[in-house]
Amino acid sequence: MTDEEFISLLDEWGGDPARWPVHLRLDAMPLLEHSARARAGLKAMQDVERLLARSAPAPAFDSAAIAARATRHGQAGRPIMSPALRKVSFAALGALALAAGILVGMTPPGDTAIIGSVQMALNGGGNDVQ
Amino acid sequence: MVGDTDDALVLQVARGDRLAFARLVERHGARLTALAVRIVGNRAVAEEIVQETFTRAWVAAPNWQHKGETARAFAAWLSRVATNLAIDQVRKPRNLPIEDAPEPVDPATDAVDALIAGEKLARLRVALAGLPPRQRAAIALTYDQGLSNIEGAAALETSVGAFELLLVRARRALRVAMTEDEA
Repeated sequence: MTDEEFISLLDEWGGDPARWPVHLRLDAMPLLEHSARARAGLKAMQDVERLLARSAPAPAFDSAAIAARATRHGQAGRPIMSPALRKVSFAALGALALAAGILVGMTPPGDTAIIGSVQMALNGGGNDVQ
Repeated sequence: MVGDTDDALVLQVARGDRLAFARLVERHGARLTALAVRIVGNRAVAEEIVQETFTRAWVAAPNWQHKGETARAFAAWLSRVATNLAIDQVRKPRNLPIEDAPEPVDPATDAVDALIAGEKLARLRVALAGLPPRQRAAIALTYDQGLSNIEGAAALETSVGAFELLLVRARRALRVAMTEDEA
């Protein structure tokens, strides 16, 4: 294994050779005995990982305030009806449509006013009936 | 306890249960704040990002079941939203400088060791701040959050291979920075 290959392994697997695949580790370890560059690379990567662990952010966190603001700010975006209620509403709408269809089918040809009013209701007010 | 799992709490939140939501915020908030701090380098901005993440969680909760998403994915979903918000924040033209976070207590045995360690830490901070935001996120997800490459890739909404490439490049940049420190 060359120095460059060893350095590439550091970048790929990190500075703890115990976490490297075994065959790569077995190939790499002898290089550390006679390569100052490989040792320097390993030490630098281990410094990076040690300092990352030491400097991990651990901020104070006010969970109650965050939760209160989230539910307050998010209220406008939430659906007014619960999912269960929405299912009921769709079912009711379907029943209404079915009833309207039956009504239309049973209505004598001359009674167009009733048919028109049902169609207008189903179309949301009748602005765009024709 | 089954009723205290993320899955169970998310189902309660979907029905509008604020107490369940508060428990989820308490459970995941500090972790997300740490993630955002590492990416944006500023506590105030990080807290705004976490606030926005949980606001989106509250709004989106009722739809999770309808979309067929499993509540088990809640933690991963939070990480994904917070990471994306943090990266977007870093990419904005007007960006807050990396603040001077207080130095952690150094366990070094004498003043010289402490001085050297402090200098290395400062070097690392500068090197981290110089990384592209997605590389910084990959470092935060791996080293601070302890995620696997598969989980990290999901948080960054990328492939595992692309995530590993981000990590390799980030490690290389940080290693070189520390090597230069030695020179």
